[in-house]
Amino acid sequence: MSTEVLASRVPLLAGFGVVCGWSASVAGAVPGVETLRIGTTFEGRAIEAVAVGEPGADAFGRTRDDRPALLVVAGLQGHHAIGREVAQSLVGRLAVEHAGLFRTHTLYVIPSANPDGAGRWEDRALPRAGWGRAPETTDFDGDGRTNEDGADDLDGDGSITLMRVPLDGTDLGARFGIEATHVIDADDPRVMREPDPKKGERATHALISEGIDNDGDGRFNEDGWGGASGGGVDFDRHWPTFWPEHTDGAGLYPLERPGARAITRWVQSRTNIVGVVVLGVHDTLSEPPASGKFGPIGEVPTGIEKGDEHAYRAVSELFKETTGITGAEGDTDRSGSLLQWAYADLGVYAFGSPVWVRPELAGSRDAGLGNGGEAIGVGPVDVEGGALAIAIERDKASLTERGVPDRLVAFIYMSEDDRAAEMAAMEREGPEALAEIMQTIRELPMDVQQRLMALGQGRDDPLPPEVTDADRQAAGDESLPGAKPGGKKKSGDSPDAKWLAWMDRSGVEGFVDWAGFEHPQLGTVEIGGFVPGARVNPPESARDEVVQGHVGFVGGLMGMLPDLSVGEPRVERVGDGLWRVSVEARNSGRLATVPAIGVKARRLPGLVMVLDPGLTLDHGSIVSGARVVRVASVEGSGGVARGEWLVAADEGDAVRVEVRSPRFGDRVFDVRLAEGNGGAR
Amino acid sequence: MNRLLESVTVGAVLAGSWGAVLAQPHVEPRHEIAWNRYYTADQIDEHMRALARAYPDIVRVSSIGESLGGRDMLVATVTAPGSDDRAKPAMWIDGTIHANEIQAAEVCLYSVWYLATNYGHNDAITELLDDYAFYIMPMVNPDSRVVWFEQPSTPHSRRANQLPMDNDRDGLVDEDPPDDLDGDGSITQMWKQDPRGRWARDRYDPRVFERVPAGEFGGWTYLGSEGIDNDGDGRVNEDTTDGHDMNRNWPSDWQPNYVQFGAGAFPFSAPETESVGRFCYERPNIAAFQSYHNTGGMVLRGPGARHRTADYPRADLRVYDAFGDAGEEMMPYYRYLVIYEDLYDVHGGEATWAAESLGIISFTNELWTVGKYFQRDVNRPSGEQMMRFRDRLQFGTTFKDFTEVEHPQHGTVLVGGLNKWSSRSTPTFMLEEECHRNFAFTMFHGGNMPKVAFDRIETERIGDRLWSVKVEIRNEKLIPTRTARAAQKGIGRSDVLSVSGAEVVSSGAMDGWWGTDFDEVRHEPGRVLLNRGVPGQGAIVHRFLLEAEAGDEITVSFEAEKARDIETTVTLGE
Repeated sequence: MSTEVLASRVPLLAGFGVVCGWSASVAGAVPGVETLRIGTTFEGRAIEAVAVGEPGADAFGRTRDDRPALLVVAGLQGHHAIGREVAQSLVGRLAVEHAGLFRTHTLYVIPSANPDGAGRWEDRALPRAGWGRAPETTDFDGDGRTNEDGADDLDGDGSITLMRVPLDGTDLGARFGIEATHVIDADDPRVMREPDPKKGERATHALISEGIDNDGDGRFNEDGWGGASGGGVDFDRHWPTFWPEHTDGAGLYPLERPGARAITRWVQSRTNIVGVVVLGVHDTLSEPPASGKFGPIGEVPTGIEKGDEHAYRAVSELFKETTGITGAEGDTDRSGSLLQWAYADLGVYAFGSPVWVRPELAGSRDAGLGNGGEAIGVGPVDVEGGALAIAIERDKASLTERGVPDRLVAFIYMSEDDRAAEMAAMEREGPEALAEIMQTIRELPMDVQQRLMALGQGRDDPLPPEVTDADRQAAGDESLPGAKPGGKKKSGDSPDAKWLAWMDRSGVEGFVDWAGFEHPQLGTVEIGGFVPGARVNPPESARDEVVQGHVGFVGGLMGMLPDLSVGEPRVERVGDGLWRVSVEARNSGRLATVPAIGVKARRLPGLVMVLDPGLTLDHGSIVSGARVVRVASVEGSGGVARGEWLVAADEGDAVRVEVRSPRFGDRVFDVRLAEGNGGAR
Repeated sequence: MNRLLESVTVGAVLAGSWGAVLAQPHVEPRHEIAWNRYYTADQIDEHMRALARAYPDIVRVSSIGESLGGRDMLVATVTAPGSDDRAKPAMWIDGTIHANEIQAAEVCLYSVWYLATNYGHNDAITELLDDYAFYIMPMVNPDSRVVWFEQPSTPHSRRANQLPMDNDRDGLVDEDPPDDLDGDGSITQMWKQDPRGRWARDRYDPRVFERVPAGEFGGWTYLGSEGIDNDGDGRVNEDTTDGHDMNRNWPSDWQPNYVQFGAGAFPFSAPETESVGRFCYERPNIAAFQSYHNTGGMVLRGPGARHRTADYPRADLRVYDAFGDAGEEMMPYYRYLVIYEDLYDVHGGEATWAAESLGIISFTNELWTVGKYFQRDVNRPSGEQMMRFRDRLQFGTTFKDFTEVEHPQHGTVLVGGLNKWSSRSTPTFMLEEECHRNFAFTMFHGGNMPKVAFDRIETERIGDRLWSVKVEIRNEKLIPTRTARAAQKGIGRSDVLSVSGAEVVSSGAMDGWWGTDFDEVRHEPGRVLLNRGVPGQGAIVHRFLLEAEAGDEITVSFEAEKARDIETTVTLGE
């Protein structure tokens, strides 16, 4: 669809200045998409960042690298293939589905932050293990030999799984110092669980990663790839914030790996980045991290600052609505993660998406795989109609609460035909009325603007209301776990059991059944367990939905990002030869220009407003004193920052006002001192 | 040895001593350096290279990287001729990571010079270089030393590196440096006459300004340090070329800039710190660490923050205390202190990194203290006493007389006062002593790096083909081959004790030579990993059980990262 066609179809939005500038083809063909090489890994692979943004200067003279930007990082761990896939898909999909965003905002994507780890995962000549470190030569056990005892694919199935070793009646404990820690679950003998001492249970089995004691030191897989430790650097534990020094995988020092260091330098140099989304093993979105908790120094937050709670709640709602993910079992230790660093050190909004979770944790997508995928969105959806109606009412109430006029709320929920008629009606009301509507729209939160824009262009609602379990329960669905009357807790409630139940239901081959094996050192053992990556990467059939959910989330989040527009300075006569000069900057985004952590971190100036930066006025003619006004942050949803000076000067003299911001660009105005005057430069 | 031979030997020794007394014990240096003056960065480098030329078999000078400003970062490797520095325990010694703490470079340079000059002439120095190697780097922050010497500075400025930074966060970089209004090369103080001023000039010595009692006016107002408000923001000298503090840029307990100013972008973000870090990581033989700073007369150890207390195990503290106590004795007016308890919190510091990350004994010396001005316990001298010292002993070289200057913002002001040589640097006439005492303390530390040897070895036949070999390894020095810190965190390789030449069927650690406990090593009993190493001034005993025939030769070897490898051969049955 060409720009002209779109423009003619959507006169309203053409007036709004939102015209799709993107070709609806692959990312490479979209103007304004550039792939940057930002570093080289230890093994010599390129680390790339994709930058998406309209290349030309905007009305404020800002180009792509000056506009407020969101950074998406994926692939920190090699086995997290779904993160890389989503990240790669985002570029093309967003460029098409949320094209208007890229006039005002920039998206950076690092789809594969650890290409060496990814290379190890993708190399099918080697067995797979459920980890994704950057391979490295290490001597983790301090015996003078490096990587000498990694895991071994003993059963030759191409996967490193587990060995369960019966210890009763053997002397293995004494010989190898291994301990029984688990029992076989009676309900499902595939499940290994810890014994319940209250029931008089005693551990019978040791659980060891698949392999032999290669170096004869009595320990199994203690130093090498795929084993219990050693063998590489974990890019989830390699950043400076709460860096877990001297622990396995942390690296010799933070950012020791050249790839990690290159990413960090590049991110720090892109001062227009106002938010980061990490697609990986952490979830800080289905439930925002705890606020007001700090590390040992008492200053660096382990979660978020109290002042950022509201923003994180709002983004969490968006995430749950768009992806359906309402919980995760991911890694909760963010020590040394890029995610925690991005927040607590870089000082920007930073969110971790687990990308894909066990389906019953993904609210509306619970039944998704079983029935071949469930339509999500607005339209004549009959399945669960009641629940959807509830979700729509909730969304409408939320829009109204956020100041969206009834007419526009209705616009969102019209049929396509009615919408076209409504737009035509608006046109007929005349240019003044239309301008008024446009102004109203401009003042709405960015995510709402995005929705209106998309629907006006005949596309799907990018942020449709999400049906949650609560909605379904309210609609009377009793099949949900939480709705079970008198549901009793049993061993089958463990995460492993739930995974197995889901895999059985949906025909996913994610588990290697335990099978006997004659181990050269341990005697008869059984080898089996979850297929590496099976609880991280969804089956093929679920991928489109995962991508679509994240297109909605990232598009919606970009729509919430702060943006700063600076009005022309105003001049007011205060007395004879005495003038009040003022300038205002307004944040039209939903989120504050700088989060509470950024104000605390003081890494970059917030907003600096300067009168007479060239020092041309006589000393003392700035009566109000400070030439420089500093503003740490401007609130979202229309927050305003103001700089004001009293100047003693002759009528007709010119003064310069400069507004500087590393995140939102600089602007310069020359103002002539005369009543009501002001002029942009 | 028979009695006659003994008396001849004693006679020879006496004759030698007489000779030394008659001809004073002076060694003619092949490269002379005056120790009553300071040297610029270029001059320090030139002296380093000259020492390498003069003593090519003892001193090797190489660059370990480039500073931010593109200067070579020179390190002298000092050890005995014909020996491999990496095959023996080594000590890292550096100075001037804070470039304004200038005498730290001279102390390092003195150390290279003294070691090179006295090797082969003085037995103690000769033994030091035979047993150990020293890596000595006078300037960790050479760029800022250049600026301190060449551009107007104060005793306190140029501490950081020269990374362009927006210190006052106004969107501009390095736009308001100090201004040398009176052109004397120092940034001194500015005073303005003001009827309501709260300071008065001393009637006998108008160079001294004193605060007047509350309710009185003294006629003068203090305007701060010399400079103008270059960027018109109402503040003076608030955004200089100085960047961040490289002694906050190390990985152990690194904290971001908002916790601690000067942290840098991330640990080792500065090329200087990263170069030193890499050098040390690549040399696991480094077993002792010393960095020089000023000022205050202190021998400092970690931790730098309370929450790192557990990183200094009790066994290591006993070693620290032995050196610290010696330091107080060797360096009058110096005190042995703990950084976070006695000074202030330091996160991501260099010396604490060496202790916590490398797992070695590590000190920071704060050179020069006010007590040394007077050579008695005058720790808070009055302004008058200090002025007398400057006038009578330094002949006014550290004070700039006041002159009137037209200031663009303040009109006529007085500029002058203490110059950049005045407070932190050792007075030049006392510099050699400062260098020597600190060097000697550091050599006491470095000279106690591990030195191990086989002590008793006992073989015993306990079966037809079964033999017991009991081995004792003794470390005569204070520092263990593995500190408790290194053992606790598994830093570096464990020491390895092995036996070859026979099949070892079992072995075990003994609780002393006469002990009966046998802590069996079930796997690889012939290659034993000793994570806790050999203690300082102590020994370990290990017993091997092996199958062999009488007359077989077995080889016992001990390898440690922080001690020389040793090996011995034992013939069974003898």
